[in-house]
Amino acid sequence: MVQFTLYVEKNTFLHKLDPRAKLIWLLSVWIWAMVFNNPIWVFFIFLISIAFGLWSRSLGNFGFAIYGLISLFIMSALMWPFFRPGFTVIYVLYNPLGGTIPLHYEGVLYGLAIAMRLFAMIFASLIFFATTRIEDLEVALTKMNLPYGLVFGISTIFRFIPTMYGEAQLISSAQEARGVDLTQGSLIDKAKNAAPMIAPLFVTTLRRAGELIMAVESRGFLAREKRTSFYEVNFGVKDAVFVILTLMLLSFFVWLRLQGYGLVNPNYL
Amino acid sequence: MSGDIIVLEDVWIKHRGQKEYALKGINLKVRKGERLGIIGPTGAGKSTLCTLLNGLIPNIVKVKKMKGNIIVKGMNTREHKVSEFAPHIGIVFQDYESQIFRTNVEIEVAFGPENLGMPRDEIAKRIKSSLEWTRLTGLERRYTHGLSGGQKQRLAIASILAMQPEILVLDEATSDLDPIGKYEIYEVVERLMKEREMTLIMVDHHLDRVAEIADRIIVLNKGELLYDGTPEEVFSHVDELISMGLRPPQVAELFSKLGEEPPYPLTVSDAVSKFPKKFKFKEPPKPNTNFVATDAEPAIEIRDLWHTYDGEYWALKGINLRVNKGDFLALIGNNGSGKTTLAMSINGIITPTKGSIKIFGHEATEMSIRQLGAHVGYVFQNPDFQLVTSSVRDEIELGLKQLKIPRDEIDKRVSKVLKMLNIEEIADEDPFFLNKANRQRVAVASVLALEPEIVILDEPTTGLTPGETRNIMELAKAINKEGKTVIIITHDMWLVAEYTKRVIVLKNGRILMDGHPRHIFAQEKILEESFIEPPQICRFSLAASKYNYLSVDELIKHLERGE
Repeated sequence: MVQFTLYVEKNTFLHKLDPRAKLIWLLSVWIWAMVFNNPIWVFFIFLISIAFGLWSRSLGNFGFAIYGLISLFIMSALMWPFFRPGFTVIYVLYNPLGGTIPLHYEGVLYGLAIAMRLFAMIFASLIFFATTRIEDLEVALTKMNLPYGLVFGISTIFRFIPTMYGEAQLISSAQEARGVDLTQGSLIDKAKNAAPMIAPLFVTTLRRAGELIMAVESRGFLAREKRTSFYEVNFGVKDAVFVILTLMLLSFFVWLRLQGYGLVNPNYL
Repeated sequence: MSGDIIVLEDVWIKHRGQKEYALKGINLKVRKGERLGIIGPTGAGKSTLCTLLNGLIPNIVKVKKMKGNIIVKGMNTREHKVSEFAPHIGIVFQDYESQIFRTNVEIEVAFGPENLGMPRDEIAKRIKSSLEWTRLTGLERRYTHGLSGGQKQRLAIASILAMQPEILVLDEATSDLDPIGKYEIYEVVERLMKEREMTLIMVDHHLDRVAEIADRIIVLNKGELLYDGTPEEVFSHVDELISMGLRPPQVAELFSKLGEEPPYPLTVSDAVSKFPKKFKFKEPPKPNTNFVATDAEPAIEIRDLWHTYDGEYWALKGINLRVNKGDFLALIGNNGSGKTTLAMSINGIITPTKGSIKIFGHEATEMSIRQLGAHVGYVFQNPDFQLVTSSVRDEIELGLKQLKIPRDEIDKRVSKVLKMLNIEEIADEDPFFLNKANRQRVAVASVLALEPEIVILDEPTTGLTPGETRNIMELAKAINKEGKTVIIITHDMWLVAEYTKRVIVLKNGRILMDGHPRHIFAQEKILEESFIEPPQICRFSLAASKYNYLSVDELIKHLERGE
């Protein structure tokens, strides 16, 4: 069966970084992308996140997301101009319900900027998960005093994503073999045909959940106040340097924004 | 304090939503170091008993009613948390997928020891030894979801062994392993039992194995403890066990049917030395090897088939195979030998990397799964993948409606398969609430209703009792008699011997042997290299005579009482 993984073990700087340092980096990239609304400036932020992707050699894993990302890009570039008007009218659309809708130059640019923002933010998140083993994240989060029960619950979901993905494929093959057509027809037909796929996936997951709890408990879950973690996660000098550089860049970008740079419409975020 | 490590005092359990008690007044004492086998048909209460032992019932799994006490290592399970039992008792369940919750192999094995707060270097040592014991060394950093079913099952066992429990409970924990794989696991367990004082409790349908390993067996039926004794004592009741749907060691069945006095032999060597000299063996019928006939109509023609999932490892390496219409064929081989890959290529779920497959003359690699579905029906190991509607009848109708078959024809076919599978009385029930054997039957019914010329059954009997397995196989035999080509993938060698007409042995993606079961199961040495053990009756007949009999009944039919 085709296997689906985001995290791939590699020996790059980003892979070896403490998950906490990467979390701070991830939040920072989100803010970097948020502070500007000039598409050229946001594009620059997007390029930075691509650079991180190249650096960590993880871009190759994102193929599965490409169609989703492109449709998201087109959607936001088309929608936002109508919600964030600007100052210079470039075109007037006739509203079929009466009246007119003006299209502003700044609105169009703003829409592009938002689309670019989403790109940058999603890419950074993908890079985070492509370079961070879920068990390491688990250790890091527990070190941040989050309760282990909660952290374990979250990481278990990640563990089962590839399994469910593989099963979804098997189930759709099983249905197709019985003559259920999953590829033809309108969007509504496709949604209707998805039901025979979701039901078995749901049933399998439900059955599994009950057994999972039994298995987890039998392995001594929360047996001791303090559990050992086999993988070590240490916040070292390189992590500190990385975080400081990230935060310096963050302050610089915020300062630029406050100076009025990188904006097509200062009225909006 | 006696040597009893587990004590059950008059235990009654009623599950939620059930009218009957699952366990009815069970009294049981297990001594330290004992090897206890628990056997019984589906619904006997075996798994319920296992889940009681570390307090999963009543602490995690809530039940409607519970009476009596369970005392493990002097601790009453009502008064202690499940995690408090974890250092003492380890349970491996059948469904491996729900026992793996980490992303790579080594950290999975580490999970238990981590929870117990062991030092890191001790955990490393335990990972190393557990993976060695289960033949998983070298896979430390492999993603768990990328493992094969057999490997996942070994991993589930390794993870419990890493906790070094004093009591090890294996609840159908080797059901997906090839015969030698099962043997290896039990061999490891035996070795561990010698090295340290460990108590073993095992639930397994493969009673040959249980008879070899257990020093005591209890038989549960409908929640009651029916027999309790040594394997020799328990297997004296061969007829009763068979009528419950169990399959005692074939040599015991043979001696019982010949009217010998119990205790019956349980192993091949024992049976050979005790076999009465008064019997002479007659030659069994020459096997029908029609399948090599080149003038018959071919159903499947496979030419130089290669497949790789990841571009590196070849799951199939040049398969050439011709299956004639009306063949009844078994695909056997160790875990990862390519059985499922080959079968899934035939029905189009997998598009092979290279090569050609012709289904009744049409090139399958150029057809969609839907087009192939009309010719090739595929029953998956997990019936839940196929069941999507809320009634058995709708389930069977689903595929027929998609094919736009007229209403009266649909009704005709539905009632035909309902009758065939003997599921008429559950036709209006929701498949979700049926037990696995019945869900499997509904899945088979919904495939058969489409009337495909070729039916593939992919390990349809995993987790079913021999009685239920026989029902499925009788059905396969019936549809084969109707002229359909049947292919079955299985690890149960006795059913291969008794039911199929042709056996293909796969090893590392290649066909190792191809022939009639009578010939194939005579090649013990070659089979062992591909991790297959012939059925006990074959091993016995080869050792005691110059013939190979495929079932107990066949052997008896060919015995002559000498002077």
